[in-house]
Amino acid sequence: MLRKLIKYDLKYLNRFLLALHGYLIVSALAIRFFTPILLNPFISFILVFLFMMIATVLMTGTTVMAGIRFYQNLFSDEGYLTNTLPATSGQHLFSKTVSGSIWACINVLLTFICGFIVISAPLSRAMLDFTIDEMLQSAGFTGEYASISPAAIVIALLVFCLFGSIGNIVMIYASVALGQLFPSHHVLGAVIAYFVISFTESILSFISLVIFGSGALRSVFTFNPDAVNADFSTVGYVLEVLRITGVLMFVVTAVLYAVTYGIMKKKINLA
Amino acid sequence: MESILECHGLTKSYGKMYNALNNLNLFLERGQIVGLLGPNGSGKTTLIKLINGLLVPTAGEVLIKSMAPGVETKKIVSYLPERTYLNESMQISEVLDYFSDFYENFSRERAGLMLSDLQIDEQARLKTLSKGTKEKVQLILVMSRDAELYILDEPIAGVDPAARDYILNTILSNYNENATILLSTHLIHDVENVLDRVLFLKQGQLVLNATVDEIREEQGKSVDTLFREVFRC
Repeated sequence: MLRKLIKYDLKYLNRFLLALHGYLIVSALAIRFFTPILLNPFISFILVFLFMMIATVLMTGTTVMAGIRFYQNLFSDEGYLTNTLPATSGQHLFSKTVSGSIWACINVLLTFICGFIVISAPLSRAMLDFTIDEMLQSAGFTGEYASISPAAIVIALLVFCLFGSIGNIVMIYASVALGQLFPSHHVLGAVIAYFVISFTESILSFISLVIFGSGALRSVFTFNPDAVNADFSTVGYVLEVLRITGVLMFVVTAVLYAVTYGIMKKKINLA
Repeated sequence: MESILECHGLTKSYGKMYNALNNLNLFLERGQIVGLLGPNGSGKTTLIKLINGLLVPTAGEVLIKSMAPGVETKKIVSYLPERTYLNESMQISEVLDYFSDFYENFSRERAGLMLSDLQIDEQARLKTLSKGTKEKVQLILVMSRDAELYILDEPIAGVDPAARDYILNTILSNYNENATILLSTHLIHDVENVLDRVLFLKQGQLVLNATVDEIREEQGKSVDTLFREVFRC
């Protein structure tokens, strides 16, 4: 049953997202192969900027499309069919989470790959005007962090983005489910729920960093620059933030998934 | 005799002031065509949604073949809602595949034959069909399942008289005599001759549960006439 639900969810999302992501790949390849011909740094810069805009819009659009599918298939008129299929609420939620997460991860991977294609264009490299080693040094990869390879950095960032994209999908679904608790204003309720959850997550991040961060990290967040250790490292700071917020993201995602399941099981009320 | 549908103290409230259903008790046996009759707002659709697990009761319970609404009851209940519930961007053939995938008791051959009788192209997209044709397609899908309980919510509202005759004939010719059909409508005159039993719902309460023969013999009037008397404005 789960396999069938995932199949139809992916079939729906594929219709829109395959074409849009194909466009992203074509744009990246066009920039990579046509900017050397143009030989104009300004136009190349504009094209790269446009590409970044497309990638950003597509990243948001992928999550929004998954949310629209979740709402339409379960809580609109289509819900009269979906909720009468011989499947549990848990199976419906899990299948939507899997299909939405698959596309969220595809989006992140393709964005990374297309980003590499774009910055590998000769004019893009010329604009950057320094080597990778110089870039890493100026970013703070010195001392104990000097041995970290560029590949390891990219992989770590990629893994964090993949988990983040799954967390976004669950957050959108939770917002839609919470919106169902607003009688007659489901969509408005979902939008409000999304902003409330985002704001709450930001506050929890801040509190977690203050409570669980190292002395130097805590000093940054308590606006006490004099107490910042002389050996404070930007990379160390970023890694610590990613570690703490990563754990928080996992906990928040689990809680939001449980809330969504609870609403689907106990509070279903199709109008 | 084993019941197909039971309600015990079934109540559905919206807020503190409004009870869509109020302490409903019901026992339906198998093998009947039952008319669920009542004016607008009497609780017919609320009862139907509770049976299908689309609403959660405020109090009481509803049982289908002694089971609470869930995966096992959804396998044996075939439901036609009062609205278009299919994704209109789908082709009819895709919808047939969908039903075949999810319902073991769905007969693609039977559905195909009925569509062919109506000269409806399986490659057509639902959004290109008229309202009446969409309703016929949905009815064909529902009646092509070998279910134990068919629930049809206002199947003939909003369609022309010829289409109504077709829909009623389709219902009669495709259901298993051991199955039960619960048919909700307020167009009693059109369905009276196919009904075995009628349930009158008024303001969320069951005011009558009798066979059509009992009403005609004991009260000497048609169901339609009795309905107009009971629900006179």
